[in-house]
Amino acid sequence: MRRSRHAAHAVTALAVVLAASACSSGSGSDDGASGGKKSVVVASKNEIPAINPAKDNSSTSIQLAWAMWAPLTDLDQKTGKLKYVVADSVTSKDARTWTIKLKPGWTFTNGEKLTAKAFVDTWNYTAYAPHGYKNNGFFSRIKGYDNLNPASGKPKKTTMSGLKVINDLTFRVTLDKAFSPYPTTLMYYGSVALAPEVLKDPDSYDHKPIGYGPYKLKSPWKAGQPVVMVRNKKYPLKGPEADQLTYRFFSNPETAYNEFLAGNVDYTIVPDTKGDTYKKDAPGKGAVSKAAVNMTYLVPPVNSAPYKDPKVRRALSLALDRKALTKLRAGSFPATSFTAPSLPGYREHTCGACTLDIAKAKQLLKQAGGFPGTLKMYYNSDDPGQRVFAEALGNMWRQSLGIKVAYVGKPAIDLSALFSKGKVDGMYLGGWGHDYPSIEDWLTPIVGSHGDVNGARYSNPALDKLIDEGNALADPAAAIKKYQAAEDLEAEQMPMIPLYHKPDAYLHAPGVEPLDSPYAGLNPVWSTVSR
Amino acid sequence: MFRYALRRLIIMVPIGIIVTFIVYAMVFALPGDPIQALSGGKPLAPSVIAAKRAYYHLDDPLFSQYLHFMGNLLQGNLGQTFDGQDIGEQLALRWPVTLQLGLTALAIQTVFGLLFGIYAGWRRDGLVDRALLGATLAVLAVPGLVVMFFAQSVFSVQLGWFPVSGSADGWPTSYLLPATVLGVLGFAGLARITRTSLAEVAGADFVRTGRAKGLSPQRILWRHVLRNALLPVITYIGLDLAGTLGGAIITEGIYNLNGIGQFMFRSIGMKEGGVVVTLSTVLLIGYMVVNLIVDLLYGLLDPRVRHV
Repeated sequence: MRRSRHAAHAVTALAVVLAASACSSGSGSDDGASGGKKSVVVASKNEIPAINPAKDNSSTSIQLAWAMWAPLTDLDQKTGKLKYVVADSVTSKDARTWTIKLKPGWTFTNGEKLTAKAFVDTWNYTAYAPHGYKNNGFFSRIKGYDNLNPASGKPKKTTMSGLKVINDLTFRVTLDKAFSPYPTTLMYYGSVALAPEVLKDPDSYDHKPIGYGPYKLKSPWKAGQPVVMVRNKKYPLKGPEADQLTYRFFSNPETAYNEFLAGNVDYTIVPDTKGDTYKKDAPGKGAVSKAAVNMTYLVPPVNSAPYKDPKVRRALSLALDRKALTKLRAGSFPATSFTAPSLPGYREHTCGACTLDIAKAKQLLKQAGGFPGTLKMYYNSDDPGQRVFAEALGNMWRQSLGIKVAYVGKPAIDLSALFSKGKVDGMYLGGWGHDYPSIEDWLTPIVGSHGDVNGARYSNPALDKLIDEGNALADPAAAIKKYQAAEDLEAEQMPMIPLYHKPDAYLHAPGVEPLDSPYAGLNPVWSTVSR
Repeated sequence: MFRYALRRLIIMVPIGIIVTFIVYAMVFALPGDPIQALSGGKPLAPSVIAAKRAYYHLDDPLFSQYLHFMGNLLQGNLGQTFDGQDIGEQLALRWPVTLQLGLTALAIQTVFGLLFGIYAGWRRDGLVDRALLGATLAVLAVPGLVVMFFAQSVFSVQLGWFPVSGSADGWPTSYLLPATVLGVLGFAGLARITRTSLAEVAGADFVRTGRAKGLSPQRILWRHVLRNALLPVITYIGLDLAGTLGGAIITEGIYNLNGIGQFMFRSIGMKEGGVVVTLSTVLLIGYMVVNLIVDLLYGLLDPRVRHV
């Protein structure tokens, strides 16, 4: 971790003379190992405003929560089965009323006991719209959520009727509608509890959070500085291996990459621009995650002609050479189904139109009456790689099907505004990664009526019905059968056109192995350290 | 001279009001919804969006938003960014970073620019002069971005002479490399202006008179030529300081320095009119003060320029 600074010190004298006007500051180095203790330094993205996963559920914030909180449930990294962490059990007979029992013995780092009341209070606080907490929407399934989030005006209530404390360690959650994957959603770190002390005035704890995870802050975090954490002695389970864990923020991922090459960072995600070169730059230190929890897909404007006809959508999909497309995205592989691999209930090749077959594509398009006019292909102009990718797609349609293609580039902020209003009149590239490991999370948000990212406003009552039926079955295996039926219907209709999965590539220092499970994904907090 | 300075300071008030309004209006006119953009990949609940819009007065008309913001600003209440960071705290944290970077770069650039410029201008068409012209041309032609990444990868990653990024090591260690790169990139313009200005004055009548009177070349250079030649140079340095502070975005991004530039860039992206105007106002005041100092220096260097 130590770097030689001879030159820096030599030039220092010169610089002091040169710039007598510049004032000095800076408080020594905060990173680095000390005294034989195992230390791991992780590079993450933009600095966050607060260490509070309910207030700010950005990916960086959730990563810090991995270290400083513990989830109610989790996935076993070897089997992919649901296991309980803070919860002792999460049970229901009708998939609508859930009883959550907590294990005894969990305490916040300030000594307060982790109780059922802490969960109920935190969830109510988060769900109360005027607080403006970003994880608010997570609780929208709970009965009474609407009272805290009226369409307009100030809410009249501050608590959800669906949450009830039974005793110190038990609470009951009543949902609006039956929802069988509910226990798996509780592995999301946005559902953790804040300490009663924090809830009295959460803003004043933005930089000194109180959690119950394997790590706690070494000292209150200062904006602009790395987050330095040490082991939490009160953590009741076996903790991770590093004694000290540091998160450093980088607004530019290439800078984090350079810091890794210089040996100052032990773990970083490989930036997109380095996807082709990282194996040469850092031989033996790169790896590709075993989990592919995301998918990039095309969204056709399903409510306007000619995209209205499923035959046209199938034809457009069949004309794509996904193998060739994945060459433009280092580390990616073609998608053959509508959900992420490694999910319970995932089946390969459910998408019949996801393999190149130009003859069939031409035939389908002919049956549908051809493709009149020009196909508009939208892309994000902030990302230089997307234009190239959009043109590759366009060329395939042009060459195989003779369709005229126009490219429309817009900044991400404009595109997202168009999507949320459902006003995109061409094809666009969508991306999704599931929040909880259920194929239901690949159906409802993307193609369910009123789905969160259903920008094309696709609506199919038969599909919605199958999802609802699955949601109402408390037995996970039976529920999966229904979701699979929904996926088969989706394959006929093609409201979205799967393209590829791209697992993250990452760099790790020798002797530091992040947890990498096909089910639980990448997690640098739970690294094994052998150096 | 005191009255002149006072007049200049008073003029700054209306200019400040006009500029802040224009900047605010320009940010307001940018497309996109900042609160939507906040959510990143995950959509925000509509009720939360509504609550946030109300909190930041985003549904008010432009003019009332501007008045509301200015009212708060005058009371010293800077408020929060859209994602909840305390703006006052951020400014206190970030100004020193940008100032240290900018002033160090300016110092390096001024020393090298003046040294080379004076030498080359005095010994025109000599070896140093020609080398300087070639070198500055090369420096001006290479894009700054390339030099910054190159310097980071060679001097920090491969040789390990400097920290790669961040300001954790404090001044000067953390700032040396980025400031040197900025200084070298900026020195070309300064050296060229100094050289040209010096060469022009060196050919003036009073210099010939001085020589004829038998003054030593050193005395002619330092006492007579330089004083006259420095006028455009000082103007250039003044403009450049403001430019360095305003244009630190790229440097701060590559070297991960949490300065004003990065804050500005993020705020424009998020359509945070209030933050952009606050930063612009501070930059504007800095710019005006530097200009005033430059104007006052004119009078000291050249008695013919008087401020009454």
